[in-house]
Amino acid sequence: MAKKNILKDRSVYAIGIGLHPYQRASDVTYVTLGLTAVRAALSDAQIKWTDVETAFVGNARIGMAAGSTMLRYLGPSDVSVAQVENASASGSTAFRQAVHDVASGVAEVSIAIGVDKPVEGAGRGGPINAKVRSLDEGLVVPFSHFAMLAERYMADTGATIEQIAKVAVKNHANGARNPFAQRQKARTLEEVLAPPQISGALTRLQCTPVGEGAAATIVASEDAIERLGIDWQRAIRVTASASRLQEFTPDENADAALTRKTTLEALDAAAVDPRDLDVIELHDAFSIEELLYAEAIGLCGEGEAAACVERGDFDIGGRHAISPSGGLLAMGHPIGPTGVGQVCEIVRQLRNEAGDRQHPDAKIGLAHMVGVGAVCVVHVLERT
Amino acid sequence: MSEKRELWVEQSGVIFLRGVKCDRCGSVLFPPQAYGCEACGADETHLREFLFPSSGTLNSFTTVHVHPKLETPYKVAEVKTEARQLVRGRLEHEHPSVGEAVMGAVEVIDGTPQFIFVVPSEVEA
Ligand SMILES: [Zn+2]
Repeated sequence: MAKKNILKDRSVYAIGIGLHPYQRASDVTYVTLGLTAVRAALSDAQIKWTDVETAFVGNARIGMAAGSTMLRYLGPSDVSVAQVENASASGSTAFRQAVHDVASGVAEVSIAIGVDKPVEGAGRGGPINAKVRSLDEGLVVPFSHFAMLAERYMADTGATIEQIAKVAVKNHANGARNPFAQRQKARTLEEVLAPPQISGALTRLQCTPVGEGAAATIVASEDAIERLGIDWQRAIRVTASASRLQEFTPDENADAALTRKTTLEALDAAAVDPRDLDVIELHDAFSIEELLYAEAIGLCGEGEAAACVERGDFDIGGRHAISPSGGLLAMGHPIGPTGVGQVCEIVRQLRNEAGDRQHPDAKIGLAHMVGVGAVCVVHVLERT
Repeated sequence: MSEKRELWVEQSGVIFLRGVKCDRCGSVLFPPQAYGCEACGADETHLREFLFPSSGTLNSFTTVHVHPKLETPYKVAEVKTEARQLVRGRLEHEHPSVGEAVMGAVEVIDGTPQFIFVVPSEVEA
């Protein structure tokens, strides 16, 4: 049975975005990070905290009750708060919950917040103990999983190490124009290929920096936009939300299959052809992922993505701008904020407010995240 | 005290892996668990211990240069076994390539037997 697209019947709009820059771990508390993003989003939407009815706080590292503890400092309000954990897709899932609250009529105005920072002594994620032992215990860390995907991709398509590295060159160039990015330095191919080698084809600059930061996006109904006097020109409609759990697929690349299915579900719901996507923010924690997911999303044929990157098809101003924010590779991946930050970038692009990293005439955007488990969460946004 | 069962077993010089097989859909699952079949959803009562040969082809591999605890570099492999299951483990091979035949072997490292993937010819030699 096809899933119901609640966003077709009731329109939901992103009306405010805010960020705290992504950065290396520092002494700044998560409360300061989070409140900076929330206040920036309120100010962007030109509404008050008391106008927000429900809040979803995505994080994976800072522990129980982090969301509610932080939001008390915004003063008294009738807001309902819930913390959302879904690994790297925590922020994307918080956004999905906020969107669905408005679509269902539970709230007229809701906020999705992502905030996170490294916590000393905390485990590197993963459930406590499901007691399933394997042969590769401890041997395969995330980057070696993706290094294996890179090796396989090169064997299947004939792509070269240099071609894979060019994804990082492109995304660092984009990040250099994003004041919220953790890495704001353009890099040459030589710099990207230079040691330290991390695993297989992957060098340090082809792996995402995991630091700290925050992002917030406020969503609202049509009625709320009218009532609060929000500028319709700056409201961006959310036309689809899809989320899936990975299935057992022993005969194909499980990561690509999960992205293909989730994206297809979202694009179908929004009635959008992948070729019509203008801006895409995807989970490029490792350079190889952009190639795999660009193909899985349907931006190009199987095995063609490396050539697309080389030709500039995925540059800002190209056929589709992929990761104009710099992506996880350059903007960074503070975990909880990342999925919300992607939505912030797409809203900025579709409003035509992205300054010197603006993709010309951007009308339709797609945000894609994956998280350990594995889960995949995809949203489609459109300028109306 | 129950002895920790290894994930492999040697039978007349051949290393088999200890997985489970679903008696409802026939899928072979590795590593073994007693929770339910990921392929069809059958509950744990449908999962039976199943030994399958560790030999297969290299689906992929990589050299790990950075690890928080282990000594590097080392190689890991993802192997497609004849039971259609993807199995990951340590790889000992100078110049591996995707699609190449490999098989399981057991090597004693620091007094502890460990499972590794090797190329068949190296075992005979
Ligand atoms: Zn089954």
